[in-house]
Amino acid sequence: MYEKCPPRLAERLLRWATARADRDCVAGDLTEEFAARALRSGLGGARRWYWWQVMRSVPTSLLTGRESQAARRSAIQLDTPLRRGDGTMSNLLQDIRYGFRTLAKSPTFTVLTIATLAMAMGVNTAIFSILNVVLVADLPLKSPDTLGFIYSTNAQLNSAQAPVPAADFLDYREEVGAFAALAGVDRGAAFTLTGTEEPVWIEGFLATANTLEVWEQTTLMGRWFTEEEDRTGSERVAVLAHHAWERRFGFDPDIVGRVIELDGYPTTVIGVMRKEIEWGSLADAEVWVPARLNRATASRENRTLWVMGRLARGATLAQAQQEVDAVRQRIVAEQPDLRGPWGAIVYDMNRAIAPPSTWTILFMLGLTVTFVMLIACSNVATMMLTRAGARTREIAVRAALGAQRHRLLGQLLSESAILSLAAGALGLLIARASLVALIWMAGENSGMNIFQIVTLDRTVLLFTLGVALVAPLLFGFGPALRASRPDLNETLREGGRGTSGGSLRGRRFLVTAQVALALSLMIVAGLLMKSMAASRNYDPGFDTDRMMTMRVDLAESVYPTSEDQRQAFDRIYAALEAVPGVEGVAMMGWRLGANDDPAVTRSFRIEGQPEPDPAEVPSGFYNVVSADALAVLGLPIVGGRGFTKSDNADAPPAVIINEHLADRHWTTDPVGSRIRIGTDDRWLEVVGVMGNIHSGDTSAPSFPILFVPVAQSPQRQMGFLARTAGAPLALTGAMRQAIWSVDANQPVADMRTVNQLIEDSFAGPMTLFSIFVAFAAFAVVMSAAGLYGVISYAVSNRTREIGIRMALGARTASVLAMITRQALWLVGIGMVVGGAAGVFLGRIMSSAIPDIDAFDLRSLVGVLAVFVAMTLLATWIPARRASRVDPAIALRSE
Amino acid sequence: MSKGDYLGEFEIVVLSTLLHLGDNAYGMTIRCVIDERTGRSVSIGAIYATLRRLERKGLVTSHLGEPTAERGGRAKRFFALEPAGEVAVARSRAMFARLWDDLPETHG
Repeated sequence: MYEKCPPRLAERLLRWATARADRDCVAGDLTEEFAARALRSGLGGARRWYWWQVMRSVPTSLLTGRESQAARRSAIQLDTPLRRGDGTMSNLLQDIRYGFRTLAKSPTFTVLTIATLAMAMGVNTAIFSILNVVLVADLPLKSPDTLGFIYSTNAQLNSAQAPVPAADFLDYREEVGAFAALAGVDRGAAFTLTGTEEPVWIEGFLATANTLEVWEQTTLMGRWFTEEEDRTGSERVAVLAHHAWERRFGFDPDIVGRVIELDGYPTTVIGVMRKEIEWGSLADAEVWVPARLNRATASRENRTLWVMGRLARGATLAQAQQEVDAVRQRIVAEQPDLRGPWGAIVYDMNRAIAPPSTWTILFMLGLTVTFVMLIACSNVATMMLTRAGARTREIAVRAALGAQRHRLLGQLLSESAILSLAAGALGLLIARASLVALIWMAGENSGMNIFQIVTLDRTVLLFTLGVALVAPLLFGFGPALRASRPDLNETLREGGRGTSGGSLRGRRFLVTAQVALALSLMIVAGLLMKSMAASRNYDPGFDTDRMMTMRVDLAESVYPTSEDQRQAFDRIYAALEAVPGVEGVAMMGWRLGANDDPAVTRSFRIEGQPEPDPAEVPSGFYNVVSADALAVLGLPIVGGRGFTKSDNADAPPAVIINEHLADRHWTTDPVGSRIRIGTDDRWLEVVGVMGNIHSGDTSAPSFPILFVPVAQSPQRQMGFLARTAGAPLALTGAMRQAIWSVDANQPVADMRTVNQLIEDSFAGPMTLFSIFVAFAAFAVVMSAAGLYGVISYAVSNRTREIGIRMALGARTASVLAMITRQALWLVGIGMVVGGAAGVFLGRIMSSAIPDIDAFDLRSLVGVLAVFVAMTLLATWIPARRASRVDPAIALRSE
Repeated sequence: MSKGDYLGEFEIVVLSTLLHLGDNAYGMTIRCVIDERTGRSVSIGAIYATLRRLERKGLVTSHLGEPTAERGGRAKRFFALEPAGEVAVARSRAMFARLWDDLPETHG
């Protein structure tokens, strides 16, 4: 019997939406047809039909349901709140129903408010969903409170978070008691995966056997590797990342136990990682293999390991830091060549995830969207106040008929809530769209892979709902409070003009606040724009045009000796040079401009100079380059000579330094002097000095660089940069074929132009900057709209006064001036407050991001000029209207 | 004759349906006849909104019938044309007839 009834929920919805007089009949009609349809075409179809009917009827019934009668009836019903048993609930429903109807009667107001709020809620939701990933979402590393991270630091290189040398890690693991377990991950590895159609190059992370134990994580399938498998000489095993299992093996359920070929070695897949692990840069790994560290081969100078540890019970990070320092001191004491600017530091989870600058940017973004939200709310509040003014008479009538104040208040707040919830729903769509735009702006290779994992999950939806519920209190409560307390005598006698000075005062306050908020955002945006403009003029000190780059990592199994590798690179080099359209080829250990390439830093000693303080030991970015690399790149030689083909393995070792190093560590001409790099026994002769390479335009800081010839220091992984005659992208296919003509199984990785590399390295911060600037512009436009609203309202209230003034002989200009003066007062106060706040925020920003000035007079003046212009425009339009008032009409207007 | 005396398209549809149904015109039958004769599946809410508007214009009157079991014990509201409503339909019909009188078939 129950099944034969129409859907209960749908029926309740229908009854609620329908005017009382029609409720029974309408429900009856639908029930009757429902029963007929259920007999004819089955229950399911009938239920669907019923729902469809209800969904289409609800809006019609709510909006067109006999407005005049409904309004009259509601006015009476509202006044007797406790007449029926379930008073509060039915009151609420009445309020909502009545709210829909009144809002539908002023569509312009409704659309404007919803649009304003939706924009603000959209950007709030978008930013929150980013913060959500960073701050709130589940981290793959469990119990973050007892995690510690060890990094290398080097003040000279401005490096606060570099990896740790493997040999140091092994010492820390043995000697630092504050850590119960210490795991290391080398993120720089890459493997050739063969056996699929094309040889592919996949990124792999080398990890110690206790890594998952330190993270307190488990594998999704199979298992993680054991200590035995983490030793040199044991059978090769690998754990697949979840996305690799998906992309490369199509979720093969029998993957565990399958043998794949990595770098030509048969390797058994023993497990699959969980999806949660793909977080931040950990998402880059496609395959995890044992690090197989051992003391014999572990380096003290190559910084490769990201080290994380689980604190022992009761131990603190400060203790860990002390013990780490002690180990470092012992190492340096035993091996004086290692003395240098490098130190070791222990960080907690937050500091490890992101440097303070990122937290500052995130904080500023959060602050910005809050400001935008506040401005939107105050703008809507202004509109509500105006509307409340227009509705004074309606409300007074209802109050005169006996409506209690809390019922009026409830009614007005319900309207606000409806607006806000509608805006929230629309805001979610806007947020979704802006996230798509962000991902597109940040680009694939920007390293901002955080955007890739941002979703509108349940936490975000709850957040938006929360905002939508709190916002009405911000923009609706004040106006509702005012409106629900009408002065009956005055209002009804006056003829319902509802012009109260009090609400104008409230509005002025809101406008001043808006101006202050918008200006402070704009000042910070001005600083950011300046820094963005600077990066547009990117001029790193070499010619970046028409240059294609790629990475070639040779597999050890195919090219076991360094001689094999040298020959292979020579052949690849020759093949690339022979590609038609290629003007020159440079080979480099890491490509200039590529953030992802493993740049190596080395400290060195200068022959004949006394041993410097550890912090003063010179260091620089170390790169192995082919003989004509400088010529191909267009890097100028400012002293001595470049490399030649004769700087080969048999020739005396040579090095080229840049001006940065020469100015800093040599008092005389460095050409001809000799240096010793790290623990290397060889003395290298400085044969030349080259121009500087900058991290931005030529005014941006340069960094110290050491170039050595590849023939004298061969390595297994090289980058190639090819200068082309025409568009470099046109030659990608030909270049790849050229490399495959040397070795058909050799993967070619990361083919990008130098300009792309540079753009991608800027894309992350640029995206954040442009978000900020867009928000600030949005805030300015909204506050301009708010200002315009207030001024035109004030002017319309003063029409009569202006008419009298003009009738008494005031000139147009003096009326214009009077109104403009009033506006400038409001804006002036806002500008003083906002200016101070903006300078303060700018200081916070610049303390985190060194590229940004704390205070820039030119951009400050520019921003203020924009504001004054905006004020004048927002004032001028209503003021002009007022000054054109015909006195005769104005005097009649009241 | 002022502009306000003419009916909207859907109003004509509803009024004509009332003429077809005679004594048996209530929500469900009106909806079904419109569906059958015009091929438009309209919502019950739209029908009531239109009927109540026509009622306010004085073209339609309504009265409650007896509750029946198949309707979940709820009464029917019967609608009928007022004389003014019949005039309005006739006038609209005449207007369309005049309008379409000499049109070639292809436009029909």
